[in-house]
Amino acid sequence: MCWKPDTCAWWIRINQQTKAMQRGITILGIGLAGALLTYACVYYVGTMSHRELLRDKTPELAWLKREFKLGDAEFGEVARQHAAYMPQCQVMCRRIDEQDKRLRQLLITSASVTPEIEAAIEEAARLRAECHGKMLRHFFEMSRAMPPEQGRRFLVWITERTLLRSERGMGPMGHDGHP
Amino acid sequence: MNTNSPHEHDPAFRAMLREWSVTEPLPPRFQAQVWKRIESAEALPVTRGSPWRLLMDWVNALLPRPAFALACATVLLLVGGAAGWAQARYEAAQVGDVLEARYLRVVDPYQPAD
Repeated sequence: MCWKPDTCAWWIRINQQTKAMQRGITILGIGLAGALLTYACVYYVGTMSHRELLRDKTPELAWLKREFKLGDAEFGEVARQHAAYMPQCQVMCRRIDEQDKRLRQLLITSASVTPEIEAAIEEAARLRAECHGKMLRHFFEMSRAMPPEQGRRFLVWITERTLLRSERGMGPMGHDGHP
Repeated sequence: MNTNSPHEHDPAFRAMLREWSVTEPLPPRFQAQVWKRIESAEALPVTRGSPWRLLMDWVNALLPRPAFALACATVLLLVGGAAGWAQARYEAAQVGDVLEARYLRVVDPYQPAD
């Protein structure tokens, strides 16, 4: 029978086991904490540049600068052209919205294709062509402000995602070119 | 020194203890036998208990060894670093996609809303 912990055999055994366990757990804990710290450091360093991008006033342009490896002077010219294009783009957006609204209204009130609907569709197509023309002119100007190789890459990238993207689903093969 | 005996302060008992001596000789190689038993008890593999207990025993047996601790620390640091790098790459790619889509929406009125 144990009367005091200092002389009690089973208490001493449990105490020793606990100490040994604490040592192993402590070492494991330190290792895991180190792993967590390494994770946090690498993650912090790895996302630093993108966090800087997001803090920029115009992050999409900052992204463009990085993506197409623009120098400060080239980026200055690109940003200037972008700023000059934006008012035109906003005017086009308003006209497209108004035309869409008009066409929607005609479609709601008509049971068949009327001459007004045909005219509205033609006007929407004309607007689209006008918008695409302006966009393309802007893209060419942008590409000329870039280093030649990057300018070519920019043109391929932007036309694939704007002009060519919108035309893709309209071929004779059906949506996305699939029969 | 503390003892657990209730006869600790009994003078007669203490006198008897003082007179008591061991005359019986120890068995041959007693000390060597004791050490042998201690060593064999320490060498006994842990095969009983729950999986958690087995894991804890394994960790506690191996981790205090410097070489194993160093190897574990290296592996943990490498795993932590690789996970941080992979996560950073994934999020950086996502940010890139978001900003690309945002630029396209800014310059092209016919881009989908999201």
